[in-house]
Amino acid sequence: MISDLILMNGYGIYVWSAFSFTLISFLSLYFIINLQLKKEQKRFEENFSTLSEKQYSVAISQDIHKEILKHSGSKI
Amino acid sequence: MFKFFNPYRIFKINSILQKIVFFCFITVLTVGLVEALFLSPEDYLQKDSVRIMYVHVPAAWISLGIFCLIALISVSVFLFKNKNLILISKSFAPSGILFTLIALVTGSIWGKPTWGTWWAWDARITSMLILFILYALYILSFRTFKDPDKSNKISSIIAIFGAINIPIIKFSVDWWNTLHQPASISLTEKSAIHSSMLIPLIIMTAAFALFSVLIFLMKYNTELIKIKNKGLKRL
Amino acid sequence: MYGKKVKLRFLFLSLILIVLILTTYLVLKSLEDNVVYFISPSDIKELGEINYNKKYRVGGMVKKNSVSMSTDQVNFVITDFKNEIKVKFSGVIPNLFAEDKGVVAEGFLQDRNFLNALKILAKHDENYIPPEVKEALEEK
Repeated sequence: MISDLILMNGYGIYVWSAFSFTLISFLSLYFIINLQLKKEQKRFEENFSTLSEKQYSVAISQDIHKEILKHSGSKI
Repeated sequence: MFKFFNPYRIFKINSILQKIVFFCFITVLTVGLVEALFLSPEDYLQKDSVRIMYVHVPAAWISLGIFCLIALISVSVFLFKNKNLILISKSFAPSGILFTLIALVTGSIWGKPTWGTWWAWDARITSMLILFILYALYILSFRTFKDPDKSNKISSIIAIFGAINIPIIKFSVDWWNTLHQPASISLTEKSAIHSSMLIPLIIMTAAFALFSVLIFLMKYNTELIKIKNKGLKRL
Repeated sequence: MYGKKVKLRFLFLSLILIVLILTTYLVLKSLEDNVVYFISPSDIKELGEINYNKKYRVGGMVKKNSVSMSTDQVNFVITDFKNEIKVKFSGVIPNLFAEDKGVVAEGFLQDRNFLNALKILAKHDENYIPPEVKEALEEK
């Protein structure tokens, strides 16, 4: 019964390789895009920490900046 | 219009949507996979290799759909010079190219047991390969030209000119003799796919569409932070 | 409603697109022989001159009751319901090769009625039907 599901009349190798290729490419793209997002968030935090006091008070007053910091998990 | 493109609101909504779409995607994909691999019947002729269709066809549909979207956006960018829209098409490109690749590879895996060959230079398959190259050029144009004005212009040109390829892909199976079979589903005629096989096909299409939306949202936020990063340096 | 500039750009874009469509059409038309993956038995009959050193791909339906298999060779007839061509082939036959189904044979022409195939591809149609439904359909 189980082996029937895996073998699929001899087409199993084709079916399973097609489906695993699809799922692996989904996972890879998700991780790549996620990595890019994390990298950009980190760079943002770094840039923020190097701001002078005056620049900081200007930057932090913008909602978008606060929102980005909130989502990158920073406590600035 | 200006309020609509307020980056703060977009970023906030995007972040919430990401979680919802992720959850929906996993749910729909699980249902779709169970339907496609185990519950749906085999084909009378192709037997179980018909199951490959459930990843091949949705991938092909969505890759074409995304390219249409990118081309339409590029046209309106050219007409109205609205740069906000570029970000949308740029963020859809990664999932577009991935789905083109999936369509090509799974089609090849299907071709071996059915046709007896991995690859054939027929009109449908070749034009699909051209779509893949167009996507690659589109994405590369943003990486090659650092100047935003230049990269916007060149990517739009690629998308608008490349749109010619879309009707060629669609109608290649009707215009010329191809190894690839003609379309099974059309808006006007009865589907040539039995309803029991149509269900997993539709569920998988929904799952793939959700995945491209998820990637789009993540990529869009990345691009927004990138812009703000440049802004910080100018403070 | 829209500015003059937008209208101008629209005109420019439409012009470019029309030119582009025309060029693509002409290019594809002139390359038709290469775009077409296979030719039909009727096309073979109408062929001006046959190049016996060139590979041809002939496609159509496998004629009913025409397949005869021996140990290392298979003979069958490809038909487009107007004309037909005999095919000889020795090698691996794809699983979906069957009578009354689509096929593409690639090889050298012996004459207008005979093809020595080197490769056979099964051409699938657009129908996807579960076996039980197919049986029910055939009983009707």
